[in-house]
Amino acid sequence: MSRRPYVRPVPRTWFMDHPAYRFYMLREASCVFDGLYALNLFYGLVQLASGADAWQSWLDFQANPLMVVFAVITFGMTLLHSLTFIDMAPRVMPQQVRKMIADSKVRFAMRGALVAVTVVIVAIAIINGVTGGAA
Amino acid sequence: MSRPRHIEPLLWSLFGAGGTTVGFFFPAIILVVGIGVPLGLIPAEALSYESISGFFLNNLLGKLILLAVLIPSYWGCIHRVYHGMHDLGLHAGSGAKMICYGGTLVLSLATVFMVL
Repeated sequence: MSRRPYVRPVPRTWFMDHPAYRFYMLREASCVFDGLYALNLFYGLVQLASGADAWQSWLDFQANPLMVVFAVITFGMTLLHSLTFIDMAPRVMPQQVRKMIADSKVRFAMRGALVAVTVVIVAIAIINGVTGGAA
Repeated sequence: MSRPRHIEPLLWSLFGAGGTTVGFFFPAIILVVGIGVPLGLIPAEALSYESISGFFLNNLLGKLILLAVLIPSYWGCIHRVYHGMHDLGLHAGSGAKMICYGGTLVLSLATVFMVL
């Protein structure tokens, strides 16, 4: 390798030149939203461990209009991440497994799992809410 | 010739695990915590202190679920943020790498500490 390898200058907005690159960067941007949301969940855990009043203040924070807007955007970005993650999942599976199961079946099963997990969690929350926290 | 051991495979597997936990659990979590309860679509009792602390702080299964969902998510996100900086032309050095992954390690340990 040359001691002074030539590095071609790349403008910072390189991804704006092609729709596929723009989509790639939009997809990658989802990690910023989900990372911040994970920090928000950690903050909720800290407040939960601090007691009922602290937990209520965290719930009030979630109801702040700016937080709701952030949650809605993060939800959309997360769905983009989930669906593209499922689309590429067969390509990173062990190739022996990939030879046995068609990619379309893997994607179908994973989308089904995503729907099932989401429905179960939301259903538990609704049941817990309706029964006054008994579930 | 002995090859040096690299930490990248470990970081990559945590990133893969994080992609899975974020992809499969975050939509539901955000629907309940971020949208449903704040907008009153789901009764507020769904996130009452008694039920949430009872399950996630005082139930072994709940603690394990919380750790299994949250910790890989941290690692997956920071891995993508770190490599995303490269995509934006910020060629961060090993110092930035230490801050990103070291911070995530501290956050992970803090999460474990919280549910203990």
